[in-house]
Order: sequence, then C-alpha cells, then structure tokens
Amino acid sequence: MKMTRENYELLLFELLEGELSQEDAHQVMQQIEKDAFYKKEWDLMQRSVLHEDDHPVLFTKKDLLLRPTGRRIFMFTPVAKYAAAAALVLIGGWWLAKTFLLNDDSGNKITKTEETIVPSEMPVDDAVGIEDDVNYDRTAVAKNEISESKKVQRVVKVDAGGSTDQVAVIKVADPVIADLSYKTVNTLGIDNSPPEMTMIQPFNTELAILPDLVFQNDDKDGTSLREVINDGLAKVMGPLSEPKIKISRVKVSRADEKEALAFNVTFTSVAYKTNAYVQLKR
Amino acid sequence: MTSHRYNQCVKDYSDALYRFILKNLKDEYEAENIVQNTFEKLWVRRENVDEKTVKAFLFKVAYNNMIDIIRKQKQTVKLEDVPERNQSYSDEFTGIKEEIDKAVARLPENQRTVIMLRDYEGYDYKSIGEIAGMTESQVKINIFRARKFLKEHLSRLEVML
Repeated sequence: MKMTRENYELLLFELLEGELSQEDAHQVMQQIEKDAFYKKEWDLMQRSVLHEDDHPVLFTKKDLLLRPTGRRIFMFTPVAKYAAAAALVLIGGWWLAKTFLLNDDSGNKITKTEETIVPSEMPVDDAVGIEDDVNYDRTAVAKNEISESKKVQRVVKVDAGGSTDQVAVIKVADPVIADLSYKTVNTLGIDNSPPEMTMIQPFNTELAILPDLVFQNDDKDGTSLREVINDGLAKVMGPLSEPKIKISRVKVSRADEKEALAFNVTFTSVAYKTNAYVQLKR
Repeated sequence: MTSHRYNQCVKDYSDALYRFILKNLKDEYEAENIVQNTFEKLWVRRENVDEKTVKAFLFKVAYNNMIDIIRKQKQTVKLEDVPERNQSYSDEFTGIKEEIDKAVARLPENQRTVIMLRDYEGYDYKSIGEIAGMTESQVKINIFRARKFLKEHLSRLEVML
C-alpha cells in the first residue's frame, strides 16, 4: 500500500485505529520508518489519543444512587406482619361495626349517626399531604354518587407520630362502590409496635353487607402474611360462627425498594371489587 | 435486573458517565444531575434493560440528556464558528495534557463525543453509533476529523515551542 502526501492522514488514522490489515499495516509502518515527515505525523497522530487524567474524575455522590438490597425478607419481619395484621384487623373491625351496629333491624342503611363520619366531614385535610387524581370528585363522594366507571385514586400522607421521616402513604385505587381512605399513624420505626390504622371514610354500606366474600391468597410470597392476617381477623371475628367477610386476595409486593411494606387488599364479591393499596414507608 | 446488579452498575459506570458528561459540558452541577437522572431511568426500566448492554444504555440516556441541555443552553461550539486565532493555544503554555484538553473542548460536540467514547470508554464504531445516533461511517469520519484537528493543534504547539 503506497502512502502519499494525499492519503497519508487517512492511512495513519486507520493504522492507529487498527483498521488496516496486517499486511497493509506492515507496509505503512515501513514507509513511516523511512520518511521523517511521516514519522513526525505518525507521532502526532498517536498523541491525539485521549488518556485518563492523572487525577481521574470521580462521581462522589454514588451513595445517592444506590438502592437497598435484600429487602424481600423484610416483608415478613414481625414489624411488617404486625403492620399488615393491624391494618386488616382494623378494617375488619370497622366492617363489623358498620354491619352490625350501624344498620337498623329492618336492614335499612343508616346514612349518618354520631358514630358515622360522612365523606364531607372527613378529616382528610388534616393530613400532611393529599394527592387526588384529576377525576376525583369530592362532591360525588360526599353524596355517595360514585359511578362504577369512576376512577378514584387518593394518596394520603400522614405525619407519623411527629417524625417527619416516617410517612405513611395509603393509595386507594379504582373503588367501584366504596371509597376507602385511611389515616395511618406509622410506628414502624419502633420494633414490635404495629402501626395504628384508623379508617377515615368507611366502606360503603352496600359493600359491607355483602356475604360470602372469599379469602384466597394466591401470592406465593404472601403465605406468612396471610397467616398473620387470618390470625388478626380471627381476633375480630372470633365471636362469629361464620365470618361474613373475608379478604379475597392479599398480594405482597414491593413497588419500591425503599418501601418497608406494601400490599394490596382486594375485597371482592360477584358484584363488587375494591382495592386498597397500602404502602408503609420508613 | 436485581438491585444488587443495579448497585454494581452504579459503582462500575457512574465515574465514567460523570467524566463523559463533565468533559463535554464543563458544568459539575449539570453533570451530576444527568448522572442521577440516567441512573434513575435505569432503575425505572431495570426490568427491561439487557444487562449485557447496560453500559451502552446508560451512555445513550446520558448523551441524549446532555444534548438536550446543550441545545437549550445553545452552548454548541462549532469549529467553523471559532475564529482561527482562538483555535490555537493560550498565551501561557500549561502542558501537553492541558493543551489537548483545551483542543478537545474546541471540537464540535459530535466529534468530541465520539472521540471520548472511543478513547476513554473503548467503544467500537458500532456501539458509539448506537449511543450517539450515527452510522458507523459517520462515527469513523467524526473520529478522523477530531484526531486530525488534535494532531494539527499539537503540530502548531510544537512550532511555537
């Protein structure tokens, strides 16, 4: 391969980049050795290669990017179990109260008693932060006029016992009839102290009186949690010969590695389905 | 991708990513932001990103982010727009390495990107093309032009010295 003043730059470049065949590279090198001009140009071409600094640039904020690892086991720690159990015990307790205490003998629904918090009086605004989706219609909720097609998503953030780093987020997604919201006091930071969960807005009465809901945990990772939930429900429903409400599905999931606990509770029947997505954050 | 593998990517690639952006933008704050945004995207898409190509994914996301910033700030310096007088060297010679850095900073953005990916990261033309949205031929031409410019810059330096 003949190197000339017209093509030498491209050939030196290809030699540097390793693009020449072994034979061509050998010929070009021979011409470089014989010609001072090419030798100098080759030297300069080699020096055009960028090298690391003596003091390499380092990204010093790696810690901000790292994610917790090995948290799956955490889902089944005593704290997590207590949290889930407490939440569901309170849900079940509330339902029982609603079912057996807030209906008169004729089965008619009682829309407002001293014990009932109607939606318009919900103390939700006392929470630290509330994020409703654009379709959320408080008026409709207050009037109990949520249509089946209405999508409602609500995230309620509540100060956790005065500690700003313990914020509970409860997200209620796609209720068909009931709009579920919970005020949560998160004590996850204290071992063996389950979070208190107090319902702000009750189940819709129609949902609460539905019979024969089925509990079926199909999450393979949720077995332990299911046992805890069952135990918790048994405490509430113990006096009953046949509990009229059961949890249909409990899915343990981790939406985010940083979250200590997240689970879905789905109440279903033939006619109704309501999801409560519960996240507890440290 | 597991969180363990993700964290390993942070340890393995965040320095290179930061250096790549910083040397292009010359702005530590923006470079840090881009690195953080890039890894955030990796985390969000961790289920879909092939672990074999995760480094290229990171550089591509960071590169696109960087280009957006450059365009917004209109900081792109085209070689032909820089007066010849300014293309040479500073009055005070500060060393070959510094002069090379200055010359690299004067390269057009596309040439600077490809030569940095080539020399610092060791990418082949195909990979560089995937990151920067160029064909292999375009990558080769841009690297060639960048090296030629750097070579000529060094040559002028030698004459001065």
